[in-house]
Formats: sequence, C-alpha cells, structure tokens
Amino acid sequence: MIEIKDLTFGYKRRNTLFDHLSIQIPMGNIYGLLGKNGAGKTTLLKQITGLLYPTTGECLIFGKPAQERLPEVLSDMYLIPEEFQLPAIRMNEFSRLHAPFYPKFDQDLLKNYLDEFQVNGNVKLTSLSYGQKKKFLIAFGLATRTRILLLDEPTNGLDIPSKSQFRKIIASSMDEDRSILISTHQVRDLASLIDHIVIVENGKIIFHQSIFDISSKIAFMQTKDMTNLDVLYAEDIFGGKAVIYRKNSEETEIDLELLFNGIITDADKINNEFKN
Amino acid sequence: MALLLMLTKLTTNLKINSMNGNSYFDINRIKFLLIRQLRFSTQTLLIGFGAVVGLIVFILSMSVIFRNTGLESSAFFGLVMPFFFAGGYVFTSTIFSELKTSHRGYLYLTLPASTLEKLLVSWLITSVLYIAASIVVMFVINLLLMTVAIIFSSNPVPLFNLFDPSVLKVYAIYLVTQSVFVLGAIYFRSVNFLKTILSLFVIILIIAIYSSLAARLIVFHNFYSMHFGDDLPESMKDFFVNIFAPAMKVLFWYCLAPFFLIVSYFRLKEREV
Repeated sequence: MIEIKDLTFGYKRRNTLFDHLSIQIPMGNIYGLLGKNGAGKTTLLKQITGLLYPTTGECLIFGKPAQERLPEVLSDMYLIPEEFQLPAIRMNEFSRLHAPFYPKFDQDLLKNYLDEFQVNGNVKLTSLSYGQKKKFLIAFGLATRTRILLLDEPTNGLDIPSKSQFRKIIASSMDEDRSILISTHQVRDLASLIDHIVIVENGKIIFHQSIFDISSKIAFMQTKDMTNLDVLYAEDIFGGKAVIYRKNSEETEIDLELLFNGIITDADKINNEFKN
Repeated sequence: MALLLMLTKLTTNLKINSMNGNSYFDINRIKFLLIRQLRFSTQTLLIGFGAVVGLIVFILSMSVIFRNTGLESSAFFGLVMPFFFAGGYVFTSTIFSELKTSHRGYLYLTLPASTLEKLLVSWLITSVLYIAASIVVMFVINLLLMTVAIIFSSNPVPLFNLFDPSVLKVYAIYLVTQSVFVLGAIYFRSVNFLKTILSLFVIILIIAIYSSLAARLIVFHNFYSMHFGDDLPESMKDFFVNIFAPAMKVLFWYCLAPFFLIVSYFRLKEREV
C-alpha cells in the first residue's frame, strides 16, 4: 500500500511542485499516472522510492516512511526510471549482483521475459540500445516479484512489437498482492492495461478514478452531430468532433487521450459526474 | 558536543531499527554489497596498482642498478608510502561515484540495504581491504626489486618488514585521515578528490590564522610583540606539553575518523537524487 498524506514539495523553496497532495494506492491494481510535462509524475515516483524527501507531509510505503529507504521496503519495491545509466557489465552479471537483494527474485522468470523480449542476456549492458536496456530493466524489475513496481515512461524507446509484448508481460505478472504504477505520456500504449487513472496537475491530483467507474459514468464518441448528447467536453478532430458525454445507456471504449484533455481543460465538470 | 549528539541520534536509530528486525544491519546484505562494490571497484584498483608497481619498480631499479649502494628501507618506504596515501585517497574519493548522476544514483540509493551497510562496505573496501591489497602490492614490488638486484646488481635488496611498528603506524595514519575523503566522496558531486583537498587546505588555513591570532592575543596580549622563534612563557609551555599536545593526540587517533564517518553516514542518509 502506498499512502501519500498532505505532501508538499518543490525543487526550489518558492516554487512548489506538490501542494498538500494526498493519494492512497492499494494493492492489486495497475495505476496510470498521467500529467502534462513538468506536472511532477517522475518526482512523485521519486518521492515514493525515497529518492526525494517531502518538504512537509509524508509518503508511506507499507506503513513505513519512504525517505527512510529501509531495506525491507526497498526489497519489495522496484523502480524502472525513464532515464538511467547502467554499469558496464553483462546482463547476467547485473542480475547475479543485484538479484540477491530481492528475496523473491525468480531467475527463470527473468529468462522467460528476456526470451519474450528477444534480448540476449550475455551481452554488456552498455553495448545495448536504449530500448533493449529498457527491456532488460523491465524484465529484471518484474522478475524481482516485488509487491510494488514503479515504471516511468516504460514504453518510451520500445518498438511496436515490444510494446504489445510489454502489455502482455505486465498483464500476466499482475496479481492481487501487487501494485503497478505507470507514469506515462503514451496513453494509447497502455489504455488496455491500466485499471485506475490518476492525473496530476498544478501540484494536485485532479482526477483519480477506476476504469470501471469511468466507463459506467461517461462515454466517448467521434461525431459530426452533438445534438442529443449531454456533452462534458468536445474537441475538434478531422471530420468532426471527439466528445466526452454523460453516459446514457450504450457502452463505449474509453479514449484516454480525450479524457486527459477533458480533465486538463475542466476537471471539475468531469469530476462532478463521479460524485453520485 | 556535535559528535556526542550525532552518536546519540545514531544509537537511537540503531535501537529503533533493531526492534524492527534486521532493517539496519544484516550480514547477508553486507556480503552482497561487498561483492557488488568489489566488482565495480576491482578494475580501478588493478589499473591503479599496476601503474604504481610499474613506476616504483622502474625508479627503484634505476637506483639499485646505477648506484653502488644497496636499497635502504627509508628509500623504499619513502617512495612507496606517498603513492600508498595518494592512491588510497583517490580511490576513496571515487567509491561513491554512482551518486554523481541521478541516472545512476537511483540504482545505488534504491538498492535494498541500509545506509549503515552501504557506508560500512565502502569504508571497509577503501580502508581495511585497500591496506591489505597495498601490503600485497608492496611485497610484490619488494620481490621484483630483489629479482632486479640479483640479475643486474652486486648489492642485494633485502626483504623489508611491512609490519614493522613504524610502518604499522603509517597504516594507522591512513586509516584516520582516509575518513576525510569518505566524507568528500559523499559530499561532493564531482571532482571529489580535488574538492576534498581544496576544502582541507582552506580549513587548515582558517585554523592556522585563527590560532595564531588567538596565540598573539592570549600569550603576548597584543599583535606585535611575538616573532617566529620566540620562546613561550613557562606556564604556556606546560599547557602545550601536558594538555594541548596529548589532547590533540586523542582527538586525532580516536575522534577524527569516527567524527567524519558519522557525518558521512548522515550525509549519505540524507542524499537525494
């Protein structure tokens, strides 16, 4: 369980990034953390892993402060950052050196994931492309079998087949004792994967709903005619409008990009739909 | 006083964490950290030792071959020890190189081991293990020089005692002074060795200026009547010989290293990326 209570943080004293931010992330879900550039998605992941300390408030992981960086917390949580620099050693050696720190690490699982991603484990990490390094880190992170997995822009640098492999692997690795938090811009890549959406804007969580609740309260459509629709948000697209409207009866597919734009434009209007 | 406060905070931390199981100190994690850190440090050490062995053997071989006197212990240690100190300080300054950038620092800081374990392992490698490795390297240099002397010179090179009390004292001095560079390795984000040296120089300069001004005011009661070579008043001589010098010895041998290591601990604990 990740519990952020009243967290305030800024890189500079006068420039507050998070202003009394609070959120609870229980186990058993895949959370999509969305936000504009500079909204603080990466910073939030760093707060959760104890790489940054809150100015005020607290960030608790399994009830313990993240900033303590306690081994029992860190051994049950793995971060795959967007930008990283890996040591100049072979993948097998990286795994041999780091796996012992994670009590539930599964070597066979790592091999399976690397096979799935078609990455050869006997190659020096520094000789790999960014995408291959990322695949290795994703495979390693999943093989740690930690209860919390944090991924920062995981699909950046992955080719098209790898993105679908990634979705498949993440979905297969999910169980009720695990929580995965994915920070991303690439909402289309992960739309089928995430079951909760969190949107960060101006230092606050402006939207936090499950996919189930979203699909039961609002609907999405591309149309030329908006009459008879209770429109919550609309934007111009080629040949018509993309619309978020109050759901009447029919089930529609969630358009995450449209939802994100709608919430950034008028969060209150869409959030009102979830109040009942 | 500050040292005492830090020690209290550290022991409180230890008590809290020991109540929570092995979250603070675990021998298995120490072992894993040691293996990991040695893997990343070995290459640097081997290259450094290789270069130093080559240079020292070359310089001393010239002395053995072209001078008609044998190699004395003072000449051997006089050349080897500056390299021992400089190498150790540079090596220590690089031990936390993973923290230089956030792109690499995240891997180290999120590694499931406590701050105490991380600091302890880094200190062990740069102090105890470095001294042990240096003794082996000095022995190898000695053997190589003995071989050179047998082949090229009529003056044999003896086997030097690397555990002579005077040599052991040098290792002890390294153990104490190296702790300053542990703090420098954590405190600075880049050019750690040079920044530590510069900081030391500035601190020593400030202490020297402050103490000489204080001495002028306390001993001679003005700024003008003291000159180099002046004798101290008898009462002050007693103070310096019986109180000041022994106190400085105690501070150096027993307080300096713990102080810097405790400060390093808190610095590492508070390190963010």
